[in-house]
Amino acid sequence: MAFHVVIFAIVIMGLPFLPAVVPDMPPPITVDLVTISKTTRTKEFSRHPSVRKNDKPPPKHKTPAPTNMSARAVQPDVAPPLPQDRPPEKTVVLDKNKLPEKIKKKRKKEKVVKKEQPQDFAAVLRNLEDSTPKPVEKTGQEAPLGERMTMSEEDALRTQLESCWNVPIGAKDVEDMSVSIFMVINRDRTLQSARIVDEARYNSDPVFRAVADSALRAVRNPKCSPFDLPPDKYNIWNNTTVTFNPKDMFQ
Amino acid sequence: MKLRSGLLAVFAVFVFVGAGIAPARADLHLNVNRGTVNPLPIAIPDFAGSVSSDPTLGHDLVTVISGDLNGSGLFKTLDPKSFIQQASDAATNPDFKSWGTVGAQALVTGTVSTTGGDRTRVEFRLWDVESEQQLVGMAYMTTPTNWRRIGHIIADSIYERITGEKGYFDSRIVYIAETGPYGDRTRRLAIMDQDGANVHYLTDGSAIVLTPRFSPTQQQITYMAYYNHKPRVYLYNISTGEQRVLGDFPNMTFAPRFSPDGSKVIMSLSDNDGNSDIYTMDIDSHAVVRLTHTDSINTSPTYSPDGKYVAFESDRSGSQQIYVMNADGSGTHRITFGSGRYASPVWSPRGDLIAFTRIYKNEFYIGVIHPDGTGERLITHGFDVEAPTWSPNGRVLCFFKVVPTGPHGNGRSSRLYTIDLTGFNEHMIKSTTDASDPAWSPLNK
Repeated sequence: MAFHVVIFAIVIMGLPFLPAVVPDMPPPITVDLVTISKTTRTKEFSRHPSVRKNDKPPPKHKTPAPTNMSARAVQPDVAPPLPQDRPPEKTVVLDKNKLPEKIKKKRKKEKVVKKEQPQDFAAVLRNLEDSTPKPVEKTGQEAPLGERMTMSEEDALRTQLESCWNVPIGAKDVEDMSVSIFMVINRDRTLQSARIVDEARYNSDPVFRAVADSALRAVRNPKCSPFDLPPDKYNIWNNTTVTFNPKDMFQ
Repeated sequence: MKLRSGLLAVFAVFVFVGAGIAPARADLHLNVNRGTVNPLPIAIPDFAGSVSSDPTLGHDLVTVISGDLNGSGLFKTLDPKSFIQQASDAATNPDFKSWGTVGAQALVTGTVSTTGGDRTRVEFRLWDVESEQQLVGMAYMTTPTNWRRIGHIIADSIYERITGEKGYFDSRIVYIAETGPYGDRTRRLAIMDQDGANVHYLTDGSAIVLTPRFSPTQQQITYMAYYNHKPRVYLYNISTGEQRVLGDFPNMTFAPRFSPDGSKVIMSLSDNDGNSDIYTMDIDSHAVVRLTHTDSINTSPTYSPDGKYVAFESDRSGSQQIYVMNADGSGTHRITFGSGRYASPVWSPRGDLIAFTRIYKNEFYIGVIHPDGTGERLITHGFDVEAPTWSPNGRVLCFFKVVPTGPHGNGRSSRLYTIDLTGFNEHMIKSTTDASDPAWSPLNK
């Protein structure tokens, strides 16, 4: 009986401490953070089968995906010249009402295409990661952190662009004209986009505009595509600024 | 807790999106300090549409535009045989890929039509083939007979958009048309479009005429003529045909040129000792101001475009050289020091260069030099090349070139040529007679 009383007393005395312990358990916050990290795109990306393969044997075969990406990125430029592809699509649409079987086949084809999209999307994501200074898994296509283009590598691109730049020479003070072009270059070393850095002057100074247009024509010139760049230093040259100034032609 | 986790999620989204829209980082910076100098390949298919009074207008316009652009040396029009797209389709919906395939970097499309009774409407667009962007789009209306001018104006628009400089195609050249055997030439004052078309003779050839010069502001010409064996400076009004002697001086007046505002003529006046000095004369008041005072030959004066300075040639140092002085005659200093003789300086309308003729070891040269005496460059030479004159935009020089003719080289043939100030693209202006002493007009108004 006394034993039971003692037990009862301990339970009574101890109980007040138990609720005190409960407030010390708010780690749900930590849990939340973990939850967030689990839902990042990086995680989704890593779920992709092609990437999983890469996760195990580290960098070796990461090349194909970026190549797909860059090819896809170029497609908008390549697609327009194929007007023959478009009319057939239109005729299929017209036939839809009459020939439902064909639609099914076509839809099936479209589904197949849709299945391929995640691969491209994953590649784009990876590209985004590459373009940010965030530490990224190194692959065989990327220069180690801190590595730069060598003089001869820069000269190769310079020489190539010189051959494509048709200078509007003779314009007044053209030797003092300096035009910077910011380029985003695809992994396959073709031009993705190019823009003039000093747009305000482009819109106000006709000689500057003429030189800037000539510089844009140079970087878009098919003769200069793909650019003469070292493939393994994509993360250095994917964003490139070229400053065109014809001063050496006046010496 | 839900609130905190929600906020964190929102924060994470902002961080993610923020990283996505952050300005792109340029990792590689490169300087390109030289390029090539090649004509820009440009495709100009015949303008679509038609005009009842001139069924071939669409084609004729393109011929004028192409002639202007090719003549500048800065463009190379592509052979229409290579075109993939039909001209009529290009005018409404250019297929840039096909134009890129044939090598065009620029494309000009246009249409012609009749509007408002007998007026002709010409519309054109200049396209950048690579970017598929329209660079210029304009429409002009005029009388059918004025179609050549429309062609020149369109060529000027294209030139200006591509080079950044004003064009010079809608302008004229006044010159001396020479006919008859060498040694007994008939010299008539003549005027033509800068491409050699629309030649008109202003004088009948009964008197020798020399050194015509355009007024920068009016359709007026000043020149020297020998009437009754008396050399005098004259003024000629192109629109009225009226001509009059400028001033009444006892001795010979020569080498006239207008001031930039067109209010004065600056010229040389000889004295009885064979020397000459430079004077200005106000066209309206006839007030005369003497600018040089030396016992030497001072001649061929030319104003800077701002009217503040005058360049001229003088033999005051013992050899014929070019000098620059303030417009009031003060501050004279020599700017040429090379071997041989320097003559006929002409200040560029841009103000950055002075063109001249240099005679050295029996060869003639046309050159340019900065007004401070630096950067002398000789851009062409020959048996006899003389009298440079600037295009209205200061980019091209016109001059005349004399070559010996006949089996023994006793004859002479004289033609007008143009050349880019870089020294490239020298070519002859087609003319029906021999020609000399050209003077380029300002742009037509």
